[in-house]
Amino acid sequence: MAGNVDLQVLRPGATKPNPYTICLVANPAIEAPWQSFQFIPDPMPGNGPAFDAAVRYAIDCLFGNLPGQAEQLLAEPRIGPFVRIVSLRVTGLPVSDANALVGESVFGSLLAPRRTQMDAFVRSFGVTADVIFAISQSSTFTRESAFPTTDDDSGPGDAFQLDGIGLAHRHLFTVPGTVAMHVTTRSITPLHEFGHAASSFTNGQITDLYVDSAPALNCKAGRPIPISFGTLDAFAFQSDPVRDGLGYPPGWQSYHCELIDPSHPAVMDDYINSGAALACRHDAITRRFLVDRLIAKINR
Amino acid sequence: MRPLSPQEKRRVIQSHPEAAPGEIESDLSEYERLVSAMFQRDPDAGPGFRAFTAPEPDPERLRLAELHAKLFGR
Repeated sequence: MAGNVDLQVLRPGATKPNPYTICLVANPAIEAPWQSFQFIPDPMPGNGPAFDAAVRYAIDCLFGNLPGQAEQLLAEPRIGPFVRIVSLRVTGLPVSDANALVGESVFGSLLAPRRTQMDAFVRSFGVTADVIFAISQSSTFTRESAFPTTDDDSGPGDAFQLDGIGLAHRHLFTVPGTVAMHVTTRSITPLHEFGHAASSFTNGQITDLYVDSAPALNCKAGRPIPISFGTLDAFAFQSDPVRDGLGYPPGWQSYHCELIDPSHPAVMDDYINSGAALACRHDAITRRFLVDRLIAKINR
Repeated sequence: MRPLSPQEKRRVIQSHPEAAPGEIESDLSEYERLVSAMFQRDPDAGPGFRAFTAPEPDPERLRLAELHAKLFGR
């Protein structure tokens, strides 16, 4: 039984049924450890001012409004006005499986999204969201993580070609993109995690570039690094031969796409150690993909 | 997944003074790659994701657990 339900529409988005929606929710309980089916309370819902501050920070980061921030993904005029932003904070809920939206993963010492529970939780309060951020006040685990969206591949979408292979920006999902975020999050972490969550397991996945990742939309593998990275519809992209100036460590097989701003690492790369995280932008193919995908969903 | 900060990396490296030069950096790099890979698989599609607790975990999961024990001693 819920105590107080604080549901706020922070940006109305498009005036249509089912607008592209991002929901930021105060996490009521934590699965500790992750996948143990044991639960502890999360103090986040009882700390309204801290939750509101974290929500404001995340939104500012997504829209490029942090002081000096270069990447303004959602501020794109074809996107920003049409994105609905909702925050949800519910107090007085029991500590249970259904109310545990994040888990504490010993591996990586991170917060992990419990994506099925996140989707069901926000729906139970009348919110359908394409991407959900669960904000936690875990006392020990502060590192964020995200799962891409599981697209509804049986539903409609806007077709596109990735390296000549036919894929689709699906309009709908079977499981939304999910982010487990800590209340103390800083830097451009919300934007980084949104990059993962807004991407798709089956129609273009955006992966971490600061490890020697397996191939994905923004990452390929092989040596020597070819000049051409790949194509997205009619657009051809070059490879980044030097990895943003960070350099590819010896032994890595992965390589990345050309940068929009070659003087700073990509948002999905090691922005924490860049010394100028706010100056980081998405690489060229990641940004074009995200803009195309968001516009396809906005126009559904 | 947020990259580790320099302080977080340093803490792990400094907790293994007995290691050969570069050994912990290399292990940590592999560990981080395997942790990141956990989030590249759809947890509801196909086998493997919950394999930490499965009777026969896949080799990547076993390697991750092995590195975790070495780096973090638990």
